[in-house]
Amino acid sequence: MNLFGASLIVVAGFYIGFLKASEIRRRVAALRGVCTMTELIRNEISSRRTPMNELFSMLQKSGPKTTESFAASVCDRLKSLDESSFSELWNESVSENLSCLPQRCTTALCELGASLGRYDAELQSAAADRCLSLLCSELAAEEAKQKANEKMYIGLCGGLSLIAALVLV
Amino acid sequence: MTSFNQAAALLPLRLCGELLILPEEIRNAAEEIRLRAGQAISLNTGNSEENFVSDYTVSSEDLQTVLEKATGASVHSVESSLSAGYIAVKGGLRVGLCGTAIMKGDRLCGVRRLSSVSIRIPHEAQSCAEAEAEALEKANFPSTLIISPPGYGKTTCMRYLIRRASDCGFRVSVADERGELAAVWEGQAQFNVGRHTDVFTSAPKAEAAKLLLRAMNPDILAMDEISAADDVRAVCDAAGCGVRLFATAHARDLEDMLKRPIYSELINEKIFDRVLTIRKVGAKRKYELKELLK
Repeated sequence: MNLFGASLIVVAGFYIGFLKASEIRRRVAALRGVCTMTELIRNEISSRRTPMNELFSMLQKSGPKTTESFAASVCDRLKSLDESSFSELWNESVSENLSCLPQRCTTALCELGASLGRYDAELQSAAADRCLSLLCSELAAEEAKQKANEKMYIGLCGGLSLIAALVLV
Repeated sequence: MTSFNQAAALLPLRLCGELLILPEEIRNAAEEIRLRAGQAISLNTGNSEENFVSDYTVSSEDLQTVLEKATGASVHSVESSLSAGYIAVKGGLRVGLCGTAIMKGDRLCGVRRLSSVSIRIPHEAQSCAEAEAEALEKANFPSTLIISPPGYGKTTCMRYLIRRASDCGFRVSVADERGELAAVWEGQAQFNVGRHTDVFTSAPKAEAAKLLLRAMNPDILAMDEISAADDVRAVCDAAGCGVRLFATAHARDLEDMLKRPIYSELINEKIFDRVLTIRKVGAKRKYELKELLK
């Protein structure tokens, strides 16, 4: 039984470590997806002048997988543009679907939402560039963290649980 | 949904609600909803412009809301329209914009910091200038120029003539530059323009006229608001191809038209056989059809 209990503790420890590591991986993947999505939005607005409903429908079907639910949410909410402004719809979608992102990123996305669809293509493009610049720097930081900490979390949690198991046994 | 309700839906929620509860006769008579920053909202009923919802002062943010709703949060997709100072909206509505011009060199390419907005509400008349339309039909729809000052119903009248001619079997091609005649939305005309009518939307009239003459073999070519030298040239070219013409122009009457060089050419060259003048007597419109002697 003591051996069984110790094994459980060790497994639990490694599991927690993996969870932590996958959280970092998810955040990096989400950030990567949001960077790609923002670039697509900028290009569609600046070069093809694509209307918003068409743009987000396209993003939902063929944009990054990690932002599919966000694009679907915006697409759906655009039907109620009569009742809320675009920036309100956008912000609601960000908080519902992109909450795993760092605070600075969600703030930058909300600032972008305040410009999208309101101004000419040049100004919107400039707003998208500002947002993209911040998102890319956050992505680089998260990727560095992932490289440094992913294995560390697995090892640390696993190691601590092993020690705890040995002490208890 | 009525045109008035569609127009009201472009407004901020509070204003929309206030307008939708106005008496029916006011809603039916409304031709324009006008918003000016710092003023109360007003309605143009053809006879007069009156303030409504006097306890509410329109703000710049309200004007921005109208723009956002009218464009589906896609101002960038209507830049070419914006540079002409208006946006066409589903249902044949036209939203006119006033504000600070955005210039690129000499070219006006947009409007920012809106100061006022005018939402023109189209009225699809089941009949219009009935006696005059009857006379034109009896004469096999000769080339006809409709003239009046702005806001007197030239477009409504022309739309009725197009439908009438089309339903009589004439092939009518429409150069609908501003999308007001047929109000085509996603490929479908929002107004009834007749069974034998082809519509080319958003292209400059001169270009559209050339394409329609080449491709659609019309009996009648219709163009709204002849106002530029290119438009006049297109009209003359079309007349030279043996096609009949329906067109409109801003002028008080025929004498007023003759004073302007751009229009006097049209009249002196006998491009049109008939001139239909629209006048207002109070809230009513009066029509006068004159034959131009060859």
